[in-house]
Amino acid sequence: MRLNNKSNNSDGTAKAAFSLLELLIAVTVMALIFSALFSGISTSFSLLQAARENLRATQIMISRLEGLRLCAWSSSQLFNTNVVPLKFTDSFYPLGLNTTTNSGTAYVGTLTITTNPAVSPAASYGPNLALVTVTLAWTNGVSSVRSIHQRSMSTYVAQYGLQNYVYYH
Amino acid sequence: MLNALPSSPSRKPASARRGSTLIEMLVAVTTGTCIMGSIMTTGITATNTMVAIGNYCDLNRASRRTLDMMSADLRNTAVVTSVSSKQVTVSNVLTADMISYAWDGSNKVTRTFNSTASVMLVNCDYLCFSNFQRNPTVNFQFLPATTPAATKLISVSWRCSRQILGAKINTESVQTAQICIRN
Repeated sequence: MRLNNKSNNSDGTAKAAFSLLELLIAVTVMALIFSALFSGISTSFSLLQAARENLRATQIMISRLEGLRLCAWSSSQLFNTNVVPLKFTDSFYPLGLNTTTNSGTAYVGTLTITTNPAVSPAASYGPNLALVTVTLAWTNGVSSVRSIHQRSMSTYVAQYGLQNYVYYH
Repeated sequence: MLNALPSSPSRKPASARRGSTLIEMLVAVTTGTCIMGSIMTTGITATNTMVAIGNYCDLNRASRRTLDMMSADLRNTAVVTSVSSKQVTVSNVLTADMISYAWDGSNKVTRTFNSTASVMLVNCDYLCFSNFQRNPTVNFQFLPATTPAATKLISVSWRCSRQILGAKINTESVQTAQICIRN
């Protein structure tokens, strides 16, 4: 839309200009484009951070389960909550990795040990088996847009360990 | 009839030859600066984001590959022959191959299979091996092994990073693991 008769050139023809409405539309469109662009970039950073936190959570859970392999099937080790606590905490940057103290996202973990778990098909070795589940929970650390993440991982622990035929073949 | 002739440009009236006013000029310059600044900021931010994501994916890929190989090597260990905070050397339980992982203290992590060395990680600015003996203690802590041969659990952590314009935001990969030896 052009406005006519705003002013005349020297030869008498009309010299058109942009109207206020056109200007507002153009500014609005530009604002939308830029806000969408920044929103996309911001979202990509958030997703990247979430992926990193998720990966770190996986490391913590695997590390926890790996240590269980060394615990004897006894009330003094595997089933001793002082040795294998059912609640624990960890952090994104553990001690020594980035600073002299734990820092970064804080993870709160819980451990459940279920003896004689239901297996299908039912097995005679069921009482010699325990199902261990590690669950980690953490937040994104933004109080205004707080989102809680949770991951869990399970494994079986056998009283007599891995059999040789499994290990060598 | 001289008045019927079209007037030449050089003979325009003064009102038709006016230029931009200072206010118009200032508004135009300010608007242009804002637009150019927005475009530049957007471009720089988008570029940084792409580089950061690319760096992180690359570092993470290398870290996961290294941890996969290291886990397989250490789990199949017959005995740990040498260990320090920067290196670990083991022999394979089935093949008796000697395998070592070593950090040069500033950049590279190298895996040596018998005498063949291959670089596993670059841009590694921190790595630490710790070795522990079998028995867990209170609060899931393991006692340090007094000798390499007494090692049953190896803890390893490292950090790889790259910089973008002097900052390491989102361009680092952190890896920690505990690997239990199945000997």
